[in-house]
Amino acid sequence: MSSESAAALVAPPPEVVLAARALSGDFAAEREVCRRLFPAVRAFAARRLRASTAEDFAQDALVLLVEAIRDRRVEDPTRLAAFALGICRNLARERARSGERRAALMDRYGLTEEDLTSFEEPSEVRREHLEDCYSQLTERARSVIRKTFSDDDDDAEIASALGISAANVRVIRHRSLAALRTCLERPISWVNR
Amino acid sequence: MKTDLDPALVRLDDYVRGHATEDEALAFEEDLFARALAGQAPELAVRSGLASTFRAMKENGSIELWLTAKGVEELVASGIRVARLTWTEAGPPAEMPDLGPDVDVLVTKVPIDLRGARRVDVEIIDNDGRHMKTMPEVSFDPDDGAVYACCDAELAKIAGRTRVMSRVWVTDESGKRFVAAELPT
Repeated sequence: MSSESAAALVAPPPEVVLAARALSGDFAAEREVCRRLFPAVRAFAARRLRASTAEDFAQDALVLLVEAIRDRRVEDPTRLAAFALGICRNLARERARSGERRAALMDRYGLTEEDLTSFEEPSEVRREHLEDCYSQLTERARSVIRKTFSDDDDDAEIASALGISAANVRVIRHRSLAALRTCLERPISWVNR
Repeated sequence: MKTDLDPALVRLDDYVRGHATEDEALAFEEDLFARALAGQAPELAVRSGLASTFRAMKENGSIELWLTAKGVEELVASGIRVARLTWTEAGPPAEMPDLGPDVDVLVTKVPIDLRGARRVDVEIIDNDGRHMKTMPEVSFDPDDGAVYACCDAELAKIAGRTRVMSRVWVTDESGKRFVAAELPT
C-alpha cells in the first residue's frame, strides 16, 4: 500500500468532519462551528478592540463566517478555523462594524439577534459560588479581579489605582484566576461538610 | 493539543490583556482558533464564565463584599434591591428578612468596635469547630462602629441554613493580632 493510499484511510479529525458538514450545508454543524468559535472570537475582540465593542465584533465576525460557509467560499474544511481568524483580522483592520450591514446579512441568512446570542454557552459558574470563592481572596486580589472583569480597566489603570506595577497586577490576576478556578471545583464553603 | 488548564488560562489572560508581543499574539490566535473549533480550548469557557458571572455580580451589587455605612446608602440609592439585617450585641435577630426574588443582596450590619484596628479578617467555623473559610481583609470604617457584609441573596439563603461561628480577627496598629469577637449564628 502506498503512503498516499494509507493516508487516505486515516480518518480526518472530528473538527474537520464537523467543518466539512457545515460547508456542505448542514445547518446544525454550522451552528456548532459558531458555538465553538464564539469564545475565541470574543477573546480576539477583547485583545484587538475596546472592551465595549468586543461583543458587537464577535457577533459581526460570526455573521461573516456563516456567510462564507453558505457561499461555499471555504473549500478546505481543514482551513475553517484559519478562515475564521482571517475574518477577525480583516474585520479588526477595517473596523467594519456597520450595524446596517450586519442587519442586512442577518436578514439575508435568516439570523436573529437571539441566534447570535445563543452561540454563547450559559455560564456554568453560579454567582453565589463565585462570590464565596471571591470572598476568600485578599483585598488587593479582589480589587484586581473586580477592576479587570467588572470595571474593564486596563492594567495600567489598575496599577495606578492600587499603587503597584502593571507586572504585579498581571501576577496577582494570574494567581487569583488559579485560586478561583480551584475553589470553584470544590463545593461552596457553607455546605462543605 | 491537550492543555493544562491553569497555564492555558495564564496564556489566554496575557493574550486578552495585551501582554503578549504582536508576534506571540498572532501565533497564539492561530492555535486558539484551531483548538476552539476542535473543542479543545477549555480555558475559553473558564474565562468566559468568570467574566460573565463577575458582570452579573456587579449588576446585582454583590461584587462589593464589605461596605461602610455610607457605601450601604450609595448601594440602595443605585437601585440595587437590598434587604437589611441588623445584629445586636446579643447576636443575629431570630427572623431572617424575606429574601424573595425581588431581593438582590442582603446587607448585614454587625456592631463591633474597630477603633485602632489596622486589619480585620473573618474566619468561619462550623459547629464541630472545623475551619470552613477565611475572608481576609474586611473593608470597614472605624467610625461606623460596625461592619457591613454584602451578600448575594442566594448565597445568604444557603449561609442562613448553616449554623456557624464567625470569628473576627483584628490586627491592631502595633501588629498584635487577636480575636475581637466570636459571633454564633
